[in-house]
Amino acid sequence: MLPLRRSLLLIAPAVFLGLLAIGCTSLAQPQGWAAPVVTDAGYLTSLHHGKLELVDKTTKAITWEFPPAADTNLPVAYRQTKLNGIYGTPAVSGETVIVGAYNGKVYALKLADGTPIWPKPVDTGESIVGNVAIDNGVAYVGNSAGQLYAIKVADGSLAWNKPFKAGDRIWSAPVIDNGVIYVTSMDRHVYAIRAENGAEIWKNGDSGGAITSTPSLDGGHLYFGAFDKHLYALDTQQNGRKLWQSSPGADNWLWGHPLVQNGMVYTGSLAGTVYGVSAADGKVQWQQKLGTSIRGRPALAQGVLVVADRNGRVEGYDPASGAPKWARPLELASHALGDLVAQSDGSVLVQTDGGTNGTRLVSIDPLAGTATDVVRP
Amino acid sequence: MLEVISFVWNQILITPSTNLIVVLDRLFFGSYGLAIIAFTLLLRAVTLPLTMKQIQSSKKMQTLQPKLQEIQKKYSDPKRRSEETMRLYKEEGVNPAGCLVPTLIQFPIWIALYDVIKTTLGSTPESLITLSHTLYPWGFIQHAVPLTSHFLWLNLATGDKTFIMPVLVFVTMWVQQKLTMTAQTMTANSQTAQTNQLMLWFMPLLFAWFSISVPSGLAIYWVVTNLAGIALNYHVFEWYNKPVSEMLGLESFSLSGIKNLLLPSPQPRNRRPAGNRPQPRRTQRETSTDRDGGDPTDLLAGALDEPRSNAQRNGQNGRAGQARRRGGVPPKLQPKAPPVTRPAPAPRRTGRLDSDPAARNGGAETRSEDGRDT
Repeated sequence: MLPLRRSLLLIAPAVFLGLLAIGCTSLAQPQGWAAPVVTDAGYLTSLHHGKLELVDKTTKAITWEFPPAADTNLPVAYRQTKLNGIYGTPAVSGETVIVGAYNGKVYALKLADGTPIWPKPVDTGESIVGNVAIDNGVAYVGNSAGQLYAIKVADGSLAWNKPFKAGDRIWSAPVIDNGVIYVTSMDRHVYAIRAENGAEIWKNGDSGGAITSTPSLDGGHLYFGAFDKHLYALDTQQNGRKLWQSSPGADNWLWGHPLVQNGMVYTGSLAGTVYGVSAADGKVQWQQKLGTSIRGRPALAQGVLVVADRNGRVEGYDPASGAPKWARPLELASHALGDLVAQSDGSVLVQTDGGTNGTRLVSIDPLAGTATDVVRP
Repeated sequence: MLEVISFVWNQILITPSTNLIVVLDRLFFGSYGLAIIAFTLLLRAVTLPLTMKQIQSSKKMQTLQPKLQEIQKKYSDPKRRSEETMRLYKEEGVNPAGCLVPTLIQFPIWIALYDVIKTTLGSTPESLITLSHTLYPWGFIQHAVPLTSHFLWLNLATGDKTFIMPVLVFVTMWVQQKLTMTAQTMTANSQTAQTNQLMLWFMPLLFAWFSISVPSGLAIYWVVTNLAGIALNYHVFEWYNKPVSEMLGLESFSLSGIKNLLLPSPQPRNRRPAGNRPQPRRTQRETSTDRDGGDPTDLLAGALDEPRSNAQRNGQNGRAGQARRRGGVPPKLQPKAPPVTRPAPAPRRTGRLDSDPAARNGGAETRSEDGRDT
């Protein structure tokens, strides 16, 4: 048996390394980073990987989750559903929640109990990363095949004959204004599309890099960041003519959805630097190094610009000068996911995941620079 | 310590490889599949000295086989045999582990490439963010993002569900190993042959199985690196003058070899010292070896037995035996003495007896005058 043993000694490392590689696949599984949505019924959030949950504001109990643990009562099309992570923040229209999942499907759920509304989910065929936008009873969502779908909220039927097709992935949320949809794509273009039929009105390819940034529309101008480390401003009234690109460039890709307020555009880079840029000419007014990757949208609440990085470091800045407002940054000791959400009570909501403190919904007081757990499952 | 390993892994292997493959992507018109092929060939070129060392080591081991078998025959004490073997290796300047080094070096490269492919293709949003930290800030590289993951029928970021790549991985790896082994096992002893046979089937199956679930970009790497290995073997071992069947050892091919690998034969009952002993009585295993002389199993059949058949002790492989059975002249090997016919041994117990050509022709077996089984 000696040769056999010797063979096994040779084979064992190969098997081990192979299994290690296979094991790494699970590490590379999509995790999701949907931001919480505050509704009258509670917080719509994803506290558990691959689940959408409604958390009661008072009791902090989970009212419902989708997909539910027991799905035998659901229509066949919804049984054994695996969302594979939720990146896109759900959209709420009346009593309906629309969410796109990384499994490529779009679901319409009743806000009250989380049961599916449509006979079956809409399968877009490729993973969904961007948020869903709803306008006039139609939900718009892009996917990783570069397709933009228009789906009637009422019954889940398609509003267009065929989805709009961009040259590469659409990982951003569409923005709708006056019957025109503005959407960015990783093919380095911004598209203006007619909402009624999905026809292209114009496109702009001035960006030097891929675009995952959801554009912000303010005063007829579109603002978005790109992988070429610049913010861009386009004039929607002049067929998307470029107004400016930010100068100087950032220190890494600008992934997130910029915040436009009071003549300034705020965004963060994947190298962890916060930028305050003049909306008039694109000149960088100030910049501050916070930490690691900043992907989520900053929030402005009570006159303080709140920004969180990937490692859960949160800082409050003066929006005009960029000066830190707090004595020291907050350390949430877990990853900050998604966009920050300014609440009506003046606080800022952020969802965290992993790290030593795990998954939570955290409320940040922008004036005091303190954090309070809102939901901690 | 872990931080140091992590730093070395990322800064010395992952980051440069990632950037190199992105550069290649741009040079090859944005085709990531072509970039992986170019990367693989580049890697093959860089590791060529190691590969050549491996091949030279294999060749040298071949030349030592007669001496090694002489040692095996001469010394029955395993310790002494081992000492003498090592002494021979030292005298001849051969490192028996020399063949393994290039393979071992490739393991971290595979894992690194796996990591690189997952990251560069940005198959998940998280991996694309990781890529932003890995790329050098040069415009030429930055401009390549996002890389396209489609190549031919493949999505390079996911496993090939058509099973074409797993099959290609299996076939190319099998052929590459078979080429190497055909050269090595010309004179290999039975233990080496058994190990080789196990690896010949197990490794391609293992990697084919991996190819189903890992990104197909990695499967492309395996196929291309195997093809490069085949080409190298073809050149170094000068296979171009020989028929394909000989090149692949297909003339002695039989699936029963797998069965014998999985179900090793029992030990012979009469073990005797190898040196200065009379002509050993032929065990059941040995007779079976004779019967299937041309089969790969002939290299394995007696692997667990001692003594071995003289033909194998003298470095004659099964192909030779098979060729002789067919009445032809074995490739490269000429019998040193004319065979003489001797009576068949006592009836055998195995069910394979019925299919034994020797049994069918009256049970006659041949043995050369000098005692070698032929």
